[in-house]
Amino acid sequence: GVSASGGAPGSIGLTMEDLLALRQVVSGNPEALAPLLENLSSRYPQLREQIMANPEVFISMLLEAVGENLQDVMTEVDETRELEGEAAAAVSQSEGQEANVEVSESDELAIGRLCELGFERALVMQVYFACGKNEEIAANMLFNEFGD
Amino acid sequence: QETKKESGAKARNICSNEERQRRRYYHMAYLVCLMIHGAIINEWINNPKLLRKLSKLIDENLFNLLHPEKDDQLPLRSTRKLLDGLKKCMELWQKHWKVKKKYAGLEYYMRNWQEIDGPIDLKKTLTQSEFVRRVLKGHGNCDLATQGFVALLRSCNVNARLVMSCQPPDFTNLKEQESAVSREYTYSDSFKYPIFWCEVWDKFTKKWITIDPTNLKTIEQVRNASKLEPRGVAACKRNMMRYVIGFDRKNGCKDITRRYASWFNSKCRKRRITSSAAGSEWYDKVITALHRRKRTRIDDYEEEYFNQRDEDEGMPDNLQDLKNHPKFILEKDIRINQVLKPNSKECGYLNVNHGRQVLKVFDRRDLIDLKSAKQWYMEGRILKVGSRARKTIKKSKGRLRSMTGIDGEAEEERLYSIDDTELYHAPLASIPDGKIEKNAYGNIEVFVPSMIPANCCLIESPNAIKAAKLLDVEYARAVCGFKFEKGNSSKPIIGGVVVAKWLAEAVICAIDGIEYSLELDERKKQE
Repeated sequence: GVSASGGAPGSIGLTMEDLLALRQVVSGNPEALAPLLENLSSRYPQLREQIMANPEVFISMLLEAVGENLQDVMTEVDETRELEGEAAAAVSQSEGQEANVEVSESDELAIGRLCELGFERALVMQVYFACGKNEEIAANMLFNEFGD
Repeated sequence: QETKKESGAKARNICSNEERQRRRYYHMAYLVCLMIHGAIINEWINNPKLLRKLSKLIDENLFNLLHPEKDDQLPLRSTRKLLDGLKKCMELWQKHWKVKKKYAGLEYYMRNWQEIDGPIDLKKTLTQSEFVRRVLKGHGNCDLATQGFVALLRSCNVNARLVMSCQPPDFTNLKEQESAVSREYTYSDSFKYPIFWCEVWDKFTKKWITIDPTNLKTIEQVRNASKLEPRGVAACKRNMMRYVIGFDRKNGCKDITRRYASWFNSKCRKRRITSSAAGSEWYDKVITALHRRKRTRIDDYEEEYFNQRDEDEGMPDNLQDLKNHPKFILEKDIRINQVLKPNSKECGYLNVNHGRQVLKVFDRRDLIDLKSAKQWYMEGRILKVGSRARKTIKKSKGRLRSMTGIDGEAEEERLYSIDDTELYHAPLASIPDGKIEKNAYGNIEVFVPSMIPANCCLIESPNAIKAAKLLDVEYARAVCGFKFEKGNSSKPIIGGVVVAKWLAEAVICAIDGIEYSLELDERKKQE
């Protein structure tokens, strides 16, 4: 899993929030790329040196880890929804999952908080575990993909 | 306080040196992001649900056209079937695409340096699931339509590449302020040539077929020029072809600009980050990181094609493009320390000054770099017995001729090519003492590693000499370079010591000991 705040190995010191934003913009927001890159370059002076000396680290940072988690959840959730219909599918999937996954006390609290944001428990659980039990990433994802 | 140079530059509308460096970095960062974008979309195109649904659009007849049998009599017949199939796919896709949106802004087209700022609206982000949904529905701009087309082809197992012409801002543009245009360019002028298109592998001709299914709606087999290469001032303002990247279904990533840029070695090369050695090295790292598959026969065929295109490109017809050309050299640009191979013939001519002057052009492979015996020695090479100078030039002593005011002694310097030299092998250290042969100053010169005697090693440490003396072993101070001082003098730089290999370990231990005791002393001082 990836750590909640900047400092994960190979993250070049970007906060998780900035990393997610960059990943989103690089995948699908061409208008925001120019200003975001400018913004990040001025807030993270080490970014310039990293990109010029070790571009492969920057590349793997954007392509792997965060990306994969987002990808998997998207495909998984999409296919579930399609096959049987939203609520039913989500519940049956998460039920199956609950049997196999240990839900600790802190996980329960995190799931509770995410539900309070206005999402169904079944969906929250699926997203929370797919994001490596990272509350911050899960919250972002829920808002971006399932928010109004 | 502005220097004279700086105020002169400002008057000519040229940015500062710092800004130039920043633009270069920004170009590289932007380019990397664009290439990552291509790689990500390429992965989205492989989405299983997307491919499954799209494959249903292609009936059996069309599928057979796309996968023709090999015609032993006339392989061209098979290619024709494939081309026919691709044309039908293009028509099918145009019918499928219900809502053709226009570009919202500049999207993936090139910005100038005043167009970098802007709002960051994250809500407008396209996700993989949205991508899949819109492609299936046929709603979106022509970039999305083209990407969907690649998915359509891959859904029935066609070896189709997603091609992206990356448009980072131009780092060779040093203008402080962009000049105003006399007339605003229209949408169709600016976006005339595509950013994304498709390539399909033809196993019969062993070439890649080029398809632009949505913008120019054309299929071509590129021989020497492509219809997709931007032409005209308006188009080139937003589309400067420098990095055409092909992403294939096995996550390969290749630079295929050579196929599309007519003047790849002159006009195009100048605008690429690869025009310098450092930039080239950096770019290779990027491609390698994104190229996630092994080499195939198809890569071999493509390389052959690129080599042929290189040969076919030929010589530029103007002075500007010949400057620093990787393959050609103007006779007048041959430097004083260079010479042409004997019996070299010019490979072309250039008319300048409205035909009043004709300049000779030579192949760079006929050019030899020369150095003096001293310069070769600095690279660890000595002259072979019996070698004669290739060229003799006049060189006044010292490096500050004009400043001294005295016309320094005009000395003759003889220059030699690398073939006139051989690697210098320093005499071995004596056994068992490890005594090393020293020069007149009591040192050994080690400018490159090959100058270390075969049974010795170089220990680079500021405490190496002290350690060797402490142990009372045979050693030699190593001169690794020179420092140039005022006047004509130069001082040797001692980089460490050379000792016999069997004594090295002891010396290193002694260095550790010295450094440890120095550390203890430092700590005591601080207390």
